[in-house]
Amino acid sequence: MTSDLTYDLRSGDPDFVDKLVGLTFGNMAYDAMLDGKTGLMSALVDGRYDLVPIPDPALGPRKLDVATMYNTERYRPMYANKRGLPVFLQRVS
Amino acid sequence: MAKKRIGILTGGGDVPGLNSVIKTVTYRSSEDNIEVMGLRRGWEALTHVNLDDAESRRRYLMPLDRENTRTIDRRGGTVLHSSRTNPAKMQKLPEHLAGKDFPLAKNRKGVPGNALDLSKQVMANLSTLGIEHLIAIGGDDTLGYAAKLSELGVKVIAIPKTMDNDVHNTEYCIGFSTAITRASDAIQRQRTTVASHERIGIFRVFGRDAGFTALYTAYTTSIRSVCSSRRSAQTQATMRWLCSAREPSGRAIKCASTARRTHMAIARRRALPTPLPRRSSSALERKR
Repeated sequence: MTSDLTYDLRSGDPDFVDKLVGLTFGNMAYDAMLDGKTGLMSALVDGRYDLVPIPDPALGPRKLDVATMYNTERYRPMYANKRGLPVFLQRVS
Repeated sequence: MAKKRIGILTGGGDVPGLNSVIKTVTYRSSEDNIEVMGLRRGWEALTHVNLDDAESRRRYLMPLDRENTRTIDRRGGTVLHSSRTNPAKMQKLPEHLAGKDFPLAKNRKGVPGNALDLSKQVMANLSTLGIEHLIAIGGDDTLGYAAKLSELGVKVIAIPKTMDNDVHNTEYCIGFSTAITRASDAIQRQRTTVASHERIGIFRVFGRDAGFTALYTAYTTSIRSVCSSRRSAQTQATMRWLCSAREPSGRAIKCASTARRTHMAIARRRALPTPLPRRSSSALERKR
């Protein structure tokens, strides 16, 4: 049984997290604009809201840190050692 | 004295949550007596708009106020529409710019390629429209051009959105949570059918080659996953191995995802045969 979820994942109404983060990112961007700032991006860093430089396009897309997040021998996510991590489990760098 | 005017645009694929950003920026601006110009269809608004043509202005420009944004946050998508246009990588000139001279875009090594760089046109349109500050909402490609514009002296603030969660410098992009929720719900629903028919269920999901969508779906649904960023022999072998696995009851949920070159396979833990095939060990890998 094969199912394509593809566009289903981006369709419909936002959940609570995307409403919360969307509103907060928008307000942070507006405040930055009022302060006359430029070249910055609303972001979540170490689990906290912050303004960071817009990423260098030469970097391309960010990728999952397989070494810390994925067990390549057992073909599954890592479940241990999450204490102290930010809410989305990975730090930006 | 003329009102300050800012612009806002959404580029790339749509995600749920964009309208919340557009609404809050508009509402805050109305309290500060600042005008908000919605730029429709992403960067295309600033490359394709013909400011001398009323129809073109209607197609690409949408003044935003409290009235026309009051209820937009109740819906997903983006009321400004979107496109994947990158003004620094234009393959073809808009009709009204035919014959005009634009420089060739340079690749990452600084070598000119075949595409055209319309940044000059973008900056001219921003100036004519009186847009003093721009808020760009998008993924790595949309924001990559925002970074370029900022280097050219345009005041830009960026907001990351992508269901792939793959923008650098932030741990979260708008749209990621809803995408994982949708994938988890779909897998959970299909468990009953897979079990009833004692079949293998295979899912395809987006995720580009970043791997976040696949892994976080597996993590939150407590199922096994296989991720690979390439259509490699290893991935193919892994997929074959997963598809050969079944639970003692004769059923298994397999979830394979392909977007561009990304592959993901998810199977219920009990569905996997033992011993597991072993790959090169890593000191960082831990058994649960």
